[in-house]
Amino acid sequence: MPVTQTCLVCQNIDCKSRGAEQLAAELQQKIAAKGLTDVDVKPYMCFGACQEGPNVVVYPEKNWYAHVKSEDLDDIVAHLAGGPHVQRLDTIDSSLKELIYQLLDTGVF
Amino acid sequence: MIKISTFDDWIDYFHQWQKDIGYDAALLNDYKFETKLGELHSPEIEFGDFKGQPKWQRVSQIPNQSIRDALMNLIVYQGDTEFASVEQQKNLLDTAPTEYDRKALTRVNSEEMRHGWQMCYLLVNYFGDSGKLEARKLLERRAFRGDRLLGSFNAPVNNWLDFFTYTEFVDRDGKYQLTMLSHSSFAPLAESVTAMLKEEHFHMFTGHTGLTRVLRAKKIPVPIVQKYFNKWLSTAYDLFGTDHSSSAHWAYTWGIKGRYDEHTATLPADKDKLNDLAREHYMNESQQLIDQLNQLVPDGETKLKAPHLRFNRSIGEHVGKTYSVTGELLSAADYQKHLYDALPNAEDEKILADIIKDKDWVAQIQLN
Repeated sequence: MPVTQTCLVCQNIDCKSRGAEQLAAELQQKIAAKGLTDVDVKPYMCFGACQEGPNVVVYPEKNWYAHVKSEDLDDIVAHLAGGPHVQRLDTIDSSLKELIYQLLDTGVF
Repeated sequence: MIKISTFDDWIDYFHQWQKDIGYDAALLNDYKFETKLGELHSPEIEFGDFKGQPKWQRVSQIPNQSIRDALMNLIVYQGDTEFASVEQQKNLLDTAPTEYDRKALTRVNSEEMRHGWQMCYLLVNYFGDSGKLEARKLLERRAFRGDRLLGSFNAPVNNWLDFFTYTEFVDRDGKYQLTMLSHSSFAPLAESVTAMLKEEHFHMFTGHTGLTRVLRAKKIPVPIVQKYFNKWLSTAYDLFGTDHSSSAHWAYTWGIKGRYDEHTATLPADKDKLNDLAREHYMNESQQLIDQLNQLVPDGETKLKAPHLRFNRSIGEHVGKTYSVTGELLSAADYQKHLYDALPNAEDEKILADIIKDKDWVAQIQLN
C-alpha cells in the first residue's frame, strides 16, 4: 500500500535529549503492530520548537504533536488509524505551525 | 530628556525607538507586543544559599541590595541583546532571498523586540527609578554606534550569510543564557524567560536551515562560509563571560542564575567554573550542528569547523593574544595577516555580494 501519511519525528539536539530517537523507534514498532502499512516514520532535522519537544508532525495531514512521550504513542497511532486527533498534544502556536507547514509544502526539507 | 514613569511611557518610547532605527512597524502586521509568563521549574529557590525558600515575587523580598543590583544587571544585559539584534538585522529585510526568508526574519525581529519589551516590563514594574532609567537606556544605545553592552551585538550583520550564521550561533548563546535564567530565584524573571525560550528556538531553526540551504545550493565557497563561522563563533564564546567569573559565582550563590543543565545536574556546581562549563556545553552543541552541516560539504573539500577557543577573543584569559583559528600562538605580524585571512574581509564580501545578486545561492523556498 502506498504511504499516505508520514510521521516526521524531530531528531535535533533538544528533541534527541528528550528521547526522540527512542520515541521514533517505538512509534515505528507500534505502527507496524497496528498494521498501518500506509504510514511511515521518518527523522526530521528540526521544527523550530525545541522547547516543546519531542515534536512529531504528521504530514501531509498537518497535525503537530508536541511534548510527546512514550505513553502518548498509542493515542497517536490510534489517530493515524482513523481515531480522534490528540488534542492535549496540540500546543504549538498557529503562526509557527503555518510557517513550518509552508516549509514542508515546498519540499525543500 | 524623556522620563519613564509608567510602562505606558516606556511603550511610547519603544515606538519612538522603532522609528529612530528605521524599522517599519507596518511590517509586523498584527503582531501583538505583550508580556508573556511561562511556568516555573519550581516554586522554591532551586540552588544556592537560599535553596528551598519560596522564590522571590517582589524585589522587596530579595535579602540585600547586592543581589538586587546583580539581578537587575542580568536583566539589563539580556534586554540589551534583544534590541541590539533588531538593529543589526533590520537592513536585511529588503534583500531577503525568498518571501519565506522575509517572513522568517520578520518573525525573528518581532520576537526579539518582544523579548526586549519583556525585560523592560520587569525593569519598569519591579526595579523602581533605577529600573526605569535602565529601561530607557536600553532604547538609547545603538548597535551601529557600537555602544551595545556586548561585543557580538555591535558587530555588523551585512548580509544573509551573516544572518544565518548569527541565528545559528549567537541566538544559540541566547538559548543558554535564557535556560540558565529560567532557574532564577526571582520568579518574574524565571517566568519571563521560560516564555521567551519557546520563541528563541525558531531563531536557531532559521539559522540552521538557512546554512543547510546555503550548503545545498553549492554557490558560496565553503571557505567563505568558514570565515563567517570564525567571526560569529569566536564572539559567541565571549558571550558566556570571563573564565573563573566572580559575578557568575555570586549569581549562583544567590540563586539568580543557574547552570545550563541545572534541572538534570547531579553533582554540586563548581562555582568558579560556571561560565567555562556553560561555554563547554555550547561548544559541544555547536560541534554537533557543524557535523550535520558537514554532511553537505562535498568529499575532497575542507570541512567546516569551529574556531579554537583561544581565537579572536575579546574577554577572558585569551584576550589580546595572537592565537590562530586553530589555536597556535602567532607573531604579531603573522596574526594581523591571519585575521585578514580567517575573518570575512572586504574581498570576501565583494565575492559574496556578486554571488548573492542571483537568487540561486541558497536553496529556494517558494511558498504556495
